Amino acid sequence: MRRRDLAVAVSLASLSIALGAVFGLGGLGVIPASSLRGLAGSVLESTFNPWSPSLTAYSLNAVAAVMWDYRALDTILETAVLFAAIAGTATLFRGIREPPSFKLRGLTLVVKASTRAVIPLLIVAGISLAVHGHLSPGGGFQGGALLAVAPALVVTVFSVGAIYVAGIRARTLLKARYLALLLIVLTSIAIPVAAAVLGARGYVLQNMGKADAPLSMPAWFFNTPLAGSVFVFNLLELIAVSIGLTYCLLLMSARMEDIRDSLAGDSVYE
Amino acid sequence: MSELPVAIVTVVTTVVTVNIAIAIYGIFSRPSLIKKVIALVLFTDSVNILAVIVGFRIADPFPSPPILPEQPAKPEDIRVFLARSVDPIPQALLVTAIVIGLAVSVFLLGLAVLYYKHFGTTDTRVIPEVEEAEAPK
Repeated sequence: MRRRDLAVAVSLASLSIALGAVFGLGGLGVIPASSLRGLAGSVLESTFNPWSPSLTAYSLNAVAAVMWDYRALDTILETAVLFAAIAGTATLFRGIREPPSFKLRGLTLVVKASTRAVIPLLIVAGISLAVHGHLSPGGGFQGGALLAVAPALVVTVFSVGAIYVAGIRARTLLKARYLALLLIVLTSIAIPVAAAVLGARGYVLQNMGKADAPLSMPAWFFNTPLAGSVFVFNLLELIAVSIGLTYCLLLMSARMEDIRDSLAGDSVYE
Repeated sequence: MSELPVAIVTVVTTVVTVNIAIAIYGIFSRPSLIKKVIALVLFTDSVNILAVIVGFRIADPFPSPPILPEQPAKPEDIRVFLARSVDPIPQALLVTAIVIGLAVSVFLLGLAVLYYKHFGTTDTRVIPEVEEAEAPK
């Protein structure tokens, strides 16, 4: 056993030193670079640039512009991966009933009172991260992950019954998530459909108007940049991510007895 | 002025290499399933930090985040932004990587919860023994 521990330690240390040598000798390129890479330069130049209207996304946040405009197909597939993982988790926990009685136990009064004060702040911060995702650091996923902390705190502090008492059911959450995903798909094909109706040309996931496809999403909200589909996708991703994570949380905090019963009834699959 | 970015990169890459070694140890050598998942998350985050640092750059007088600070922006603002901002593309790809890491860890944690409910432990050394004891003679 002792010889094994020694071997593990030596191999991990040599791995660490080898990785450090690769980085130090420039295996990933010179870091820190003294100039921008070409692709990064063109993205930064066009992310908010009213003087080159065929390339710009009207988004002050270049990361949000890359995510939902220049490489939007990537991000749609990423949302699909998250959806697949949540569907897989739902399959693992299939057949679990919701608890018959919503007995509230929870932690002490101090913890409960301070959590009551924190939860509205979390919700506001999460929504503002997504709504301002194209103007400041943040975005739909970041906001959604922060928003999903609120139900996690509720489950930890007030026990899972509090979520059911508030009228939230796993089935409703799943439906709301399907709705948000459907709206994401509809937004991505909104411009080609509208262009087909109007007899013009349009591209899937198009944001701003191009030279041969003049239709565009709204670029300005009065005098604030709106970034068109970046804003809409951020908002829908906020809903999809926060609801999906809350759904997983509800499944994983199911009571032991309910899970035992559903596992026992599953012998067909074994 | 270029000493500070070099120092930042050195410190971060050192921490990342040590973290990767710790995470690999956790994944392969710790018996608890929960600790394996924690180590996997640590591994993902270390590699993510490494990718962010690849997008870091030396700028005069200091590098700035890839977010245009001026609104309404004038052409000069965009030129200054271009001269200072770090690379936004690794950061945008990392959001994708983080989401996929989250998806994987949600699924693995679900599996770990079910293991615990079924076997009464998350210790991988114990699970085969329980299975043997439960197997029909």
